[in-house]
Amino acid sequence: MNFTFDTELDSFREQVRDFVRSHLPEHIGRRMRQKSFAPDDLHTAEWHGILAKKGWSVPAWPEEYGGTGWSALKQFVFNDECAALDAPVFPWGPRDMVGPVIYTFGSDYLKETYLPMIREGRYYWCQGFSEPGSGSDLASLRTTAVRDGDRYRVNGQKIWTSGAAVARYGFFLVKTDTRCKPQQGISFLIIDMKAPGVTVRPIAQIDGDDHLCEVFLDDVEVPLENLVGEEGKGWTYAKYLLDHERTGSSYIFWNKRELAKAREIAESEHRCGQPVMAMEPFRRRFAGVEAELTALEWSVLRELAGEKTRWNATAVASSLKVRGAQLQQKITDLQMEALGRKGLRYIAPEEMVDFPATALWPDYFVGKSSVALITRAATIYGGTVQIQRSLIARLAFGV
Amino acid sequence: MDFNLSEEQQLLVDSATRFMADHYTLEGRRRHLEQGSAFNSERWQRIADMGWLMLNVPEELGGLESPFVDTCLLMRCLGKTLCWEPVLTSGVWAASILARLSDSPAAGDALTAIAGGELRVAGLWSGFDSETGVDFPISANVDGRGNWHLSGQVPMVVDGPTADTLLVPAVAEESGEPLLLLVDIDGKGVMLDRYVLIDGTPAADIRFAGCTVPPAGCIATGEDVRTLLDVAADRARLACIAEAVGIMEACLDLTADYIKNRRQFGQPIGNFQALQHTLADMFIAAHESTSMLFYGLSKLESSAGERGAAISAAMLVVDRALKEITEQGIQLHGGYGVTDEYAISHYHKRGLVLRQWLGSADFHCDRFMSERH
Ligand SMILES: Cc1cc2nc3c(=O)[nH]c(=O)nc-3n(C[C@H](O)[C@H](O)[C@H](O)COP(=O)(O)OP(=O)(O)OC[C@H]3O[C@@H](n4cnc5c(N)ncnc54)[C@H](O)[C@@H]3O)c2cc1C
Repeated sequence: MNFTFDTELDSFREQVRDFVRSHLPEHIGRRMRQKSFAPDDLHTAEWHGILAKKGWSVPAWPEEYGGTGWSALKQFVFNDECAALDAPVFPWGPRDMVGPVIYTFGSDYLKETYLPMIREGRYYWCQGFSEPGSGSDLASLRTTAVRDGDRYRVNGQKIWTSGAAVARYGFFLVKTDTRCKPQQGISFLIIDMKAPGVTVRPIAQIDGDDHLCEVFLDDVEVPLENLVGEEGKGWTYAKYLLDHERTGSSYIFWNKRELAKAREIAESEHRCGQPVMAMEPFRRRFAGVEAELTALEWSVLRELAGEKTRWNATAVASSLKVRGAQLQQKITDLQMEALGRKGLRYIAPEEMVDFPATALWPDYFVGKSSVALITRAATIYGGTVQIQRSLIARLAFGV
Repeated sequence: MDFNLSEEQQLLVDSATRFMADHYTLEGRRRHLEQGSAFNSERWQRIADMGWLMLNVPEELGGLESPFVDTCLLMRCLGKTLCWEPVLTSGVWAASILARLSDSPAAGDALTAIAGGELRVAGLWSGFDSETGVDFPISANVDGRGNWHLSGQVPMVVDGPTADTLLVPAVAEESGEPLLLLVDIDGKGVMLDRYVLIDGTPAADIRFAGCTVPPAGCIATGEDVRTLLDVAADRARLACIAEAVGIMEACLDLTADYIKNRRQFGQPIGNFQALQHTLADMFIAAHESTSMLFYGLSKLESSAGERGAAISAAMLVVDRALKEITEQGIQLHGGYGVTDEYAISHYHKRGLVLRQWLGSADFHCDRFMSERH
């Protein structure tokens, strides 16, 4: 065993830090400091254009498609530094989900058409899996794709499709065969969100934003080439994609950065003449969360360094997801507690960008309550904590 | 002991429940929020016509002077439907203060006007760095003719933007004596920065510069002012607790309904034991919160120490219960829980306001410990 990072990674960390410091546009950093989630798609695209020029936009991909060939730990360092310096996270939909599915299972046509544009971060992509009647029970989905000559005709409805209103493309799970067992008739399709018959309706969210959408598919014609891999294998690909990034759903980088923000708030805000950070009950809660976050980070590192354990790998990934999601909520709770009554003020999404900071309402206050509100979803999306617990029990222990 | 409602109390609750169901629906709430929480005086007059603004007004001033439990029963009904009117700030908090100032004609006039729905009053209680309820951030300078000149600012005055008159605790610059003033919000030298809270409640940062109050506007002076304001803050807290209990009861009902009707894996999700247990825990938390409401009410007329300890203990239990119930309520709704279209998200946001507004859990923990032990 060896518990230290390669020293080579220290100098790499410096290199990443210098690059982000000198290349991240200030307006993007400021926006990220406020909102922490779903930044303007334009900002994300701008930043990823910058990363792409450097050759750093899709580190995990095979080198032939633009990957860097970095080890998992080196990628960890890269993501850690980017997040700490408020760089937008590359939208995981295209980079971590559809991209790997395309280069692993897709045709040459799909690789040539879509991988370069994903690598350059040219467009936003959305993920159309969930449906109104199929959330936790995803396999029961009902959107159909029927072959008609050289195309599919797609009909049905998706929901919770994050960013569908700004997305140029979406990757969808659809039923190409309704007669067989649910999982077997599912296929994986890339759909042009501008195609006739695609209607997107934003959903008003708890935090006043409307990033989540409903997507109605009404006789949408999709060329057969947009089928990824084989018909009826969509479920296998979806599972591959969810398993592919085992540590991403721990939100480790987000959690670290937001805890740092909680500290900044608690050191700046005062209650009864002393900084909140100096108040004993708050200190203790903060320490408890920081210790848990350290545990999460080391669990992630164990996974990335390839520790062999007796446990089912998916069960381990689920444990990281459960803890990571809970920590997101505990950390936004800390931010709200540190802000005290200040955290109760509502700032509409459109007011945030140009919010005039004052001594009473400093920059660090902006957007925090919105983030705390939408972070209730952390234990819901991508498989709820209840579903993850059932998975752990089944996969790790066979119960 | 008897924890059942009297006939009159049952009537109050029944009529409030009917009224709320008619006038304060989720669709109505969403429309109201879309319109920037604009105040509607017809709606307010309807509330006044129900007699609810008279509960804390003495009989000789046209009020009902009801036992405080009646106010709490009402607030519980308001909480259930998330009624957004400033009943608590004007009808409970301000009225509770003014009702104890029988010597002041200005206070009496204000009370009569509150009871009739003609006047709304908001209080400038404290700055952000204080949680004690009242910390006198405004200073007042008296001139030769007895006029008071106010300076200073108070952030986040809840229901400030819809008030006509401000209740202003201040410190006299020369004597250092506490004062209580009534200030016309439209008067010269009163500046408001308006916004809304996450639950849509209007609030404002209010600043005085060049604001003059005539001698009659000073309705109380001396150390008694502190006591008066402390008692009133605890009454307001109990009203919040009652509202919170209403919120919890509503969340239980709508979450139970939801998991009975939502189907996944070919069955109602309420069949899954994980969700049954969560719902059961939510029920336990709501039940103990109701107990704390009654316990707090039982100590309202006790000594300051006993009253403070009891109400802070109640606030502590309610803080945890609101967190558990509204957060798990969202969780059990899945994605629908984080939308504006489902009521549970609105209850959660109101819950967050109630958990901070009149002192954080840490503050109440300290107050409970120091009064009790
Ligand atoms: C912010 C956000 C972003 C999202 N982004 C996307 C996206 O981009 N693309 C996409 O396709 N989807 C997305 N989703 C959808 C998300 O994956 C689903 O919300 C999630 O799978 C839960 O499904 P549901 O909302 O239908 O809840 P339901 O499945 O109806 O669950 C409701 C409750 O029942 C519980 N439950 C259900 N089944 C069981 C069981 N067997 N045992 C115990 N408890 C159970 C759940 O844990 C939950 O508490 C997003 C959701 C959110 C909130």
